[in-house]
Amino acid sequence: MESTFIIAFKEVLREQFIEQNTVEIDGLGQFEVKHREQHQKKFESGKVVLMPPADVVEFKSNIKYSHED
Amino acid sequence: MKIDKQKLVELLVEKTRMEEEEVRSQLDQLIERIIGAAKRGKALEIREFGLFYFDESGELKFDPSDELSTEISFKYAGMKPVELKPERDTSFPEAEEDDLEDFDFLSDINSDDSNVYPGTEEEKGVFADQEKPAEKKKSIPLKSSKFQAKKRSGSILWVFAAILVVAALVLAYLYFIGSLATTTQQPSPAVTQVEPEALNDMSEDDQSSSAGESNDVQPSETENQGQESETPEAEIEIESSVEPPEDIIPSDPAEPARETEVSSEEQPLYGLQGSVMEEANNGYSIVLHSFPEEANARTAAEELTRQGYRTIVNSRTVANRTMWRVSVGQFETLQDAQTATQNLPAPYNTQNFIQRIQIN
Repeated sequence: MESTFIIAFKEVLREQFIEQNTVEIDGLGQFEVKHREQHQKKFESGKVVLMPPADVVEFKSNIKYSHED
Repeated sequence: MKIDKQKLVELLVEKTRMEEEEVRSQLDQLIERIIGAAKRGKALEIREFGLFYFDESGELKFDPSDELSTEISFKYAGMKPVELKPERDTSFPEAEEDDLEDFDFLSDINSDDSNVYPGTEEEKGVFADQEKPAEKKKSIPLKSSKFQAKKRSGSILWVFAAILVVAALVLAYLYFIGSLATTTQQPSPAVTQVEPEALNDMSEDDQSSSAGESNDVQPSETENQGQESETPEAEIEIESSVEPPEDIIPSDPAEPARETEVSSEEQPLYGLQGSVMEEANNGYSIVLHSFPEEANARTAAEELTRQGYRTIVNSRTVANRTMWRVSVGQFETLQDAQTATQNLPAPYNTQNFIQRIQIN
């Protein structure tokens, strides 16, 4: 596999994510950028932290694999 | 918008300038390698992109890399988790007050209980009920005295607070008067920008009459202000969320400009200041402005270049809208760029984001 292809693949997907586009690749899965609101997170120690908002990539795939196979 | 495999192949063809068939073949190979590695129980990492693996339930998962996460969430770059104080339990103070009342130290001092035989456990059990009413009686006068003491300390606090407020108001008034006096004494920055010819005129007028001085200065001041309002600076302030106030930008651009001249001969490949190196365009840059109009971006870039920064202007289409980004510096890694943001003047040091360098 050519490294130029891998570099281009990363760049194209990154650009699409920045533009909030969903990328669906047959045989692999779907990448989607979701906005996560700021929220409070409570740790076991009792410490409460206000997490900042963020845009995150979510990946969903229909491909399932059984480790027993 | 949704990008399917066909559209992705088209974009990859455009990017790589390879044949469509070849791109398709490369993409299929990549998918096979990802799934093949995952099936072997291994995770396949694409550097600076992310990690593909099968989790315990047998689902294909993807963990984006830190670099990808930062670039996608660039709008919130610099925002860090904030620790919150736990909410105060309002039921506590009452309990504390009761505890204090039980600890009746006055009665402890007045009575000789400390020397009294404490008694066995059985005796305590017998007399416990008899002793309780007496304890309650003692606590009543203490409560009232405490209340009075609290009231007294409260009123003292109020008086103290009032004195502080009055003192603060007096100081603020004095500061206001002082600042008024200094502004009237010192010449305004606009006056210093008057051309030498105008200054000569002013000095001539000074000789003729001191009363005419202010009259001569005023028109030149208003002229300058008029010129400033015509420049695109005013527009930049409205359109750009990261444009700093004028007083924050280093007012003396001569020094950085000199640095540029010196460093352009032997400047390193990557860095914040100097001139843009074509060989360093494979790295990262810190975006300080984003404009819908190219002219405004160019004006902002000129100002940053004048301050000695390596300045890059490029366009990006975000949500079907072309934005002109003005970025500074060329850095080999994302971390280097993040570190360099700390060397920028406020508010650039907090209002920025990092992107891969793209030259249009």
